[in-house]
Order: sequence, then structure tokens, then C-alpha cells
Amino acid sequence: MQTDSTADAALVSARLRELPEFDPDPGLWHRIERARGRALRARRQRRGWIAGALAATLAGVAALPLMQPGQPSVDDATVWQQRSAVLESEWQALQRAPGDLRTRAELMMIDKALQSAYDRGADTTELAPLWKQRSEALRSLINTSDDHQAVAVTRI
Amino acid sequence: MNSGFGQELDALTLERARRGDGRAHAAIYARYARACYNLALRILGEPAAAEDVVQDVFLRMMDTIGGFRGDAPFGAWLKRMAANASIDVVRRNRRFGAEDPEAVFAATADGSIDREDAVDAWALLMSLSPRARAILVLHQLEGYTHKELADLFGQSESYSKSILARALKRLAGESH
Repeated sequence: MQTDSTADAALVSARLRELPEFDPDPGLWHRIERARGRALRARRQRRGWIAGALAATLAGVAALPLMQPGQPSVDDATVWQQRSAVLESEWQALQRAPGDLRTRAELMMIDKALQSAYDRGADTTELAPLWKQRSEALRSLINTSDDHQAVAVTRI
Repeated sequence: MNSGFGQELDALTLERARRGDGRAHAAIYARYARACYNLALRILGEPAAAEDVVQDVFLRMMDTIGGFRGDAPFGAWLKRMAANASIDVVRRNRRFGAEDPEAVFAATADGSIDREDAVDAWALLMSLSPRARAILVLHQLEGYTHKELADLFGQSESYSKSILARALKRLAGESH
């Protein structure tokens, strides 16, 4: 049985060595080159898209801190107004001493400017910086108040 | 003169091809395209399908030659790609036949070859299904082991042994 299969294999191998050889179509290499060119162009395009998407993502990530509630954008009057209200509550809760007189005076001037702006029907581009200044003045008053310093010392 | 995968590739052409030199790629094609085409044609039996395999192999070669470390001769590396690509076509495409060894031979009945055709090696080979041809050609002509064939087909070694034994018996019977 083994001899039969070995003989079959030898016979068939001899026949297979007689197999003719053919040449591929002469234009095949040009088709391959064109396909290669298309593939490379598509790859470059994909890389461009990926780089663009990556750049957009990085820009978005870089801009994120500007959109955080703690650092509202300059032209967002509503955000600064809300922040100002929160700080005012915080300052009033701490207030036992009058605090820094110069800053209190600054706060009063800002309030007056805000009232004037609202009376004139000013838009957010004018209101937002005033609300921002008011928040900063309140933050300064909170930081310099006696209670806040006492809390800070206790925390240390 | 050796016109098959056994031809050597000089180090300079190989290095240029690794760097993406188009002329080096063309030189490699000129040297090995015929071997690739004939291997695919013997397995698939269709010139258009064989040319698709050659295109696939050379596109892949140009993409991956940078990673070719030279552990094996370049021709052997390319032959493996051509065999893989041809068998992928056989496995993917239903018209190239079923997996089951019985079905592989059921489609082509014994004694289907005319006596005149029996002297023609090509007609003999084409009397088998693509799957049986792949195993026969790769084992008998290209020196693949049953282990390698089993890996290529995703089957057991007994699968390729069974198909090879039946193919040999069949063709030997037709050749007498």
C-alpha cells in the first residue's frame, strides 16, 4: 500500500514537472503601480484626516479650562454675574470686620457702573467685564477678611 | 536558468526596495512575477484570479518589505505570501469548492478526462478541484509539509494527507 502511494506520488510529481509556465499580462505591473499610487494617496489622506482630528481634539482639550465654571469666558456676563452672587454670599457669611476699605470702595464703584450700564441697556460685551471686576473685588475682600484668614490658619 | 522563487535577490535591490524605491520594486516584480502567477494559476485555474493574486502579493510586498529581516531567502518569503493569497481566495470563494474532502472529489468524477487530455499535465491538474490542486501543488512541487498545509487551510494534518492521497491516486490512475 505504501509502495503504491509512493509510486503514485513519483508518477504524479513527474507529470507535474511537465506543467507549462505562463506569463502574466504585460500590463499587470502598471495596474499594480496604479493601485499602489491610489493606496498611498488614500493613506496620506487618512493620515491628514487623523492629524486634523487630533489637532482639533488637542485644541478642544486646551480650550477646556477656559470653559470651566471657575474660569468663565470674558464675554459670558451671566456666568460672571452668577459667580459674583456666590462670592457675595460667601463674603457676607464671613463679614465681621469691614475688610479692606479701598476694595469696598472699588466694589461700590463697580456696582454704580453696573447700574448705569443696565440703565443704558448695555449689551453683554460691556456687562461681562464689570461682573468680572465685581467678582474679583469680592474675591479680594473674602481673601483679606479676618474670618477667612482665621479659617486659613486653622486649616494649616 | 531558474525562473522561480529560488532565484536570489541581490542585497542592493533588496535594500533599495526596503526604502520604498519604485525601480527596485519593479525589478523584484520582473524577477518573481512569473513564479507568483504560475503558482496562483495552478491553484486557481483562472488567469484573472491568478493576476488578482499577483497584484495582491506585490502590493503587500511593497508595504511589508521594510520589515523583511532576511531570515529566509526573499523568494521563499514571497512564495509564502503567494500561497497564502491563493489559499485565501480558495477559502473565501464558494465557487472554488467545498472544504469537506469527500465534496472536494465528488464534484469531479473519476474518468472524466479524455485519453488525449491525459497526456497533458495541465489538463490532469485541472481535473482536480482548486482545494485539491492547492494541496497537491504546494506539497509535491513547492515542498510544503502537511503541518504547513494544515496551518494554511486551518485544518488538521490528516485533512491535507487525505486530500493529497486521493489526488495522487486519482491522477496516477489517469496517467497510466
